[in-house]
Parts: sequence; C-alpha cells; structure tokens
Amino acid sequence: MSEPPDGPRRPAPESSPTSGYGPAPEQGPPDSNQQVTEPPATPDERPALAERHLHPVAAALAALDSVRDAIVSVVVLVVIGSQSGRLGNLAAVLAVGGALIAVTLGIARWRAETYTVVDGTIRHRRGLISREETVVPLARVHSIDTAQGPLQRLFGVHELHVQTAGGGARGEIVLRAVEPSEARRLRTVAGLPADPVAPDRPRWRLGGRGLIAVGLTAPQLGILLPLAAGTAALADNIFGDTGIRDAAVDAAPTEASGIAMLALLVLVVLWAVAFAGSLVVYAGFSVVRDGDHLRIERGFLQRRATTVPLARVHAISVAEGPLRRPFGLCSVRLETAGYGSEAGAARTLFPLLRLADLDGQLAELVPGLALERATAPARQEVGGGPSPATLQAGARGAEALAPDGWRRPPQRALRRYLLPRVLVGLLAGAILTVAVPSLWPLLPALALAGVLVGVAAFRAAGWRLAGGRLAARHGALTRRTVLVSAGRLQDHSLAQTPFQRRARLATFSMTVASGTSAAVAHLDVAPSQALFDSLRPIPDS
Amino acid sequence: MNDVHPEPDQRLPTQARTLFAFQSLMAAAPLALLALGARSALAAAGAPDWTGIAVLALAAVAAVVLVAVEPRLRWRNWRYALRDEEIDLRRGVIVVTRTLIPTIRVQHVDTQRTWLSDRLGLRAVVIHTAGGSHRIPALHPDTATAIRDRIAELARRPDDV
Repeated sequence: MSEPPDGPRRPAPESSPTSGYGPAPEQGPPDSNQQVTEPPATPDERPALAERHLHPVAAALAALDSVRDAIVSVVVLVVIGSQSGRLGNLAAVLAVGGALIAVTLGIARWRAETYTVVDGTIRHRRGLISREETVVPLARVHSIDTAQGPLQRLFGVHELHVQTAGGGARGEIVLRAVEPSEARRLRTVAGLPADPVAPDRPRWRLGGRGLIAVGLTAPQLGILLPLAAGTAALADNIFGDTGIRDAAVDAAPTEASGIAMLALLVLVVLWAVAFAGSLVVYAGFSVVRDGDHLRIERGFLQRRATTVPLARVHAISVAEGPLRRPFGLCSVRLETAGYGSEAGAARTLFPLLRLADLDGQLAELVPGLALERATAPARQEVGGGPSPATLQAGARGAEALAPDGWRRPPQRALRRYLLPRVLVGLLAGAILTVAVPSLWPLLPALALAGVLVGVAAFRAAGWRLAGGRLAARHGALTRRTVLVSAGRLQDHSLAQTPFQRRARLATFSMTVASGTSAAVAHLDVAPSQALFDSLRPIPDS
Repeated sequence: MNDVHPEPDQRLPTQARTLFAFQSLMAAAPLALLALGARSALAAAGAPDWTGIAVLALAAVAAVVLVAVEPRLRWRNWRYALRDEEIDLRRGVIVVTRTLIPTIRVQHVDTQRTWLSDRLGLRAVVIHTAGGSHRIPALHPDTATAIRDRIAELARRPDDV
C-alpha cells in the first residue's frame, strides 16, 4: 500500500525457490497498482489465508468429471437398452439416477475441498472418504499457473496450478475454480508477481497470420504429405502396371482413381485435424519476460498461463520442419528441468518464428541463451581446445545459429551418412518387391530417397561453441538444433565404432536437463575430442 | 586446470564377467528358440536336412560369442573414474562410448542389487542427473557404497535445476 503507484513492480526478491521458509509477506508488498476490482490483497501483517472453499463452479466440474468417468457404462447401458424395451427403461432410470448421484457427489466434493495458507505453507485438503492433504512450503512454490476451460471462463474463474521444482505441467496442488482476486491474493502471499504483467515487458505474440501459418505447416503434415503421395503413387502403380487399371477403368471407372481420391480425402481430413489442433492449442499465444520469469499464455478453448523461471531454462531446441525450413521458419521449445516429459505444447517458446529473428527474440526473452550480451569475441577454432575461460567468454555480435563457425562432419563422412539410409531404402524396396512384384519401381525410388535423406542429414549435422553456448544440430527431414549454455550440460559423450576409429571419426552427444539429447555423428575426431575435453560444468549461482 | 581429461582407469571386478555372461544368456535364450523354430519350419517346408543343421550351428556359434566372448570383451573395455569434478565412464564392445558426468549435476545415486548380483557379491551403482541416468553395472559392495557416498558428498554442492 505504501508503494507509489508507479513504483516498480517487483517479483519475489529471491528468485530461487530455495530461499528459506520465512513468512511470505516479507517478500513483497501486495500490488496496489494493479487494476484491482476486488478489495486489495490482505495487508502484510496477515501471514495466512483463512481456510476457504473453491468457487462453487468446482462442484459442477467435479460432477462433469463423474459423468465423464461413467460415460462408457452409460453408453453400454443405452446400447443394451436399445435392444430391449424393459432394459431401456431401466437404463433411463439408471442414467437419471447417475446424473443425480454425480451432482450430489460433485457438491459433496466441493464442500470437502479447502485450501489455506498457514505457517508458510499452502495446504490443500480434499477427499470424501479418504481425506487427502497436500502441504507445499511457500518457499518451494516457483509459480502459480492458471488454466481456464470453457466452464471456468463462463464464471470468470481460473484453475490454479501450484508449481514446485519437482512437478510437471500439472501442479503439485490443483485448485480448479478460484476467483481472480483470490488467485492474486494467493500469489502475493507466495511472494510471486501478481497478474497481469506490465505492458512494457519484453513480449512476443503469435499473430493471426502466424497462427494460420502454424496450422498450415504443422509438423504432422511433414510426415503426412510424402505418405499420401506414396499412397497415391502406390495406387497408380498397382493399377497402372498390372493392367488392372485399364480393366478397372472399363469395368468400374472409379476404382483406381477412387483409391487416389480416398488417399486425398484422408490427407485433407488429417490436415484439417492438424490445422484445427494447432489453432486450438496455439491461439492467442504470447510470451512475456517478467524479470526472471517467462509467462507463456496460449489456448483457445482452454486458456493456459504458465510461468517458467528462467533459471530453469537450461537449453532450447529449434526445429526446422520440412514445411518450415524452405520459408526460413522454425519452432522453438524450452528445454526445462522438470518439464521434460510434458507434451510439446506445454514446452513451446515460439510456435513459429523466422530463424533470422531467433537471436533478437532470445536476447529479449531468454538472455541466458542469447549471445549479444557477451563481450569478448568467440574463439571458434577448437583445434587446440578452448579453455574454460573461452567457454565463459562471449561472442560479439555473433548469432546463436548463424551459419558461420559451425563444425561439420568432413566430406569423407558423407558416405557414412548415405550408406545406412540407402540400405534401409533398398531393404524396404526389396521386401515390397518380393511381396508385390509390380511395385519394383519403388526399389530405386526408396534407394534414392535414402540418398536424399542421407545428404540432408549430412548437411544438417554439426556443432558450434561460441560465447559459452554450445549448439548441436542433427536431423534430416526436420533439422533439430539444441542450444545450451555449455556449462549446464548434464553429461556429454564421445562414441566410436571400429569403422569410425579407422576413419578418425567420432560421434558426439550431449544431454540437457530436460532429458533431451542431441548427437552429431561422424565428426572429425580431433576437434570433437577437444570439445569433449573442454566442456566443464559451471556451477549455477 | 588441464584441458585434457585423463582416461578412466578403474576396472570392474572380475566377477562382472560372470554377471555379464548370465545377462547374455538371457538374451541368447530367445535366439535358441528362434533357431529351433526356424529348423522345424525348414523341415516342414521340405528343405534338405543340412539347412536345419546349419541354422542350429549358426545359432550355436552366435550363442558362444554372445555368452563366452562378448561378456569378457565388455568387462575388458569397461573403465570408470571418479574425480572431484566429474564421473568418467568408458564402455562398449563395438561402439566404445566415453561419457563425462559433472558431479555437480548429479541429483542422486542408487545402488542396486539383484538375486544374481548378490550371489556374485556385486552391486550396481546408478547415477541420476536431471537429464537421465548412468549405470556402473558391477562393483564390489564396498566400492559401490564408497562410490555412492563419495558422489553424494561431491554432489552436495547445490545445483539449482
């Protein structure tokens, strides 16, 4: 209250979730400069929130859950009921009774569920028969995320996810319906920045055109297109080469083209599904950096706001899908400790971005991985092995993924990239040809595909160490680049087969804290060994 | 600090060969079934007798390599070293892989025992980082405990993940 209206909003003064168990309100005064429509947050003297229930809409949500859980039995009952009249009546009775029970249970669950803040801990009690209580120390809470489904939005409430370092996207405590004022109060008590973020923070938004572009180039499509093309070619081949097609055209003119049409239809449907899926997931996507946290909002039906402490962003991975790379586009994922097992959408930093804009955006939003702030020019030549000092030194004006400074596999490694892929193509082609002799054109086609994929993989492979950031890139159809602070690797390896040993080649791989690993195959052994030897952990402060 | 990490020099105890051999044996069991199945299939298809015998001989050679040779090579190639700042592993029969795990990245360390490893007086040590886990498959129980405690001590320096 004492803060001037324009006073800087401050997040928790200690960014680390392990900053002790002190009473929370000492960590920051409640925000008085927000557009608070409800009564302002509790004064500092009150260390705790009184025990309270969720918003009553939680009862409806619980009831809906019960219905959803019972939906299979209901469908079975209805199906059985439709077979015989008497059972039909019984099914109707059961369905109505079940709905009543669901509502009653929902209300009972809502009454049984409370949360409170006591002794510097958030306590969540719930359960009708077996009472459960979850206790999370406020000091361990690194964010309180929100999600908002259609029903919650109708009532203007949020689902709160209380996150600690150990958890995934689903919080340690999930409060399914909390009013905004209450959510703000909880955040304030936990010493977290309250909603919303000031407009002057670095921000990135996915616009309407961007959203459509995301849908159009959805990664699933990269797999679908060749698949559909293959199916169409297959149909053409089977019916073309064996003469069946002519017969078919005579007998049933739609037979051959029917399959092609069907393949096309399947493709269109799948594409529409992928398109709609991307729209629903990424609509209204925005990233804001608020001090040392990223706030990511997304979703159409279900609005989600996730807070990620920058300290936990150890790396990013950049994917250039086959439909995106030709346009210089990529998508970027956060590699965050603790979120490793989450679905792709939960880890997205940029659903779609020009590769050329990556450095600028990183500097704004994830400065720990950008190179601009660094001071000394990078020593990209690692033949002699960079010293740890080099690793911590920076690159002036260098760009995270700029084309220069990359260490690539030598030319003599090319055939090693080609051979296994061509063999796989030949083998698949051979099996198909043996099974259906008329498919023989697939044999050279698949071998050629192997060559193309191999060349693509060869051209993608490489690594670069600049400004203490290590980038490793691999992949064929989709290029993947993992960019990590070199000092924060979880492990790194160098592997050699006997063939590689003879050719003085080696495969370098590394793992980041999300569990994602990147391997670059068939590199010159000397610089790879130098890289292997030079990498040292830098303790996180 | 020297830029080059010395090669790891600690070997696994010799009993590890027996452990590896038993593990290979379990991998070889399906091979035997497969060979027997292939032989009866050949016989049923009316192929000459020698084809079936050749399949069995081939499987026998593979089994010998798998059970007698591979475990020894695996044991011979396994090296580890525990330094203050890193855990250094080198292993592999065909693909030789060397891995460095910074000790400050270690989240926790497990020792594991099975019925078989107990009979052989061995323990496995599993080193967990935020990115995954690494396993030293066979150690003397005393060594395993010592390594576990040592890593736990070294890893005590805080690492904020």
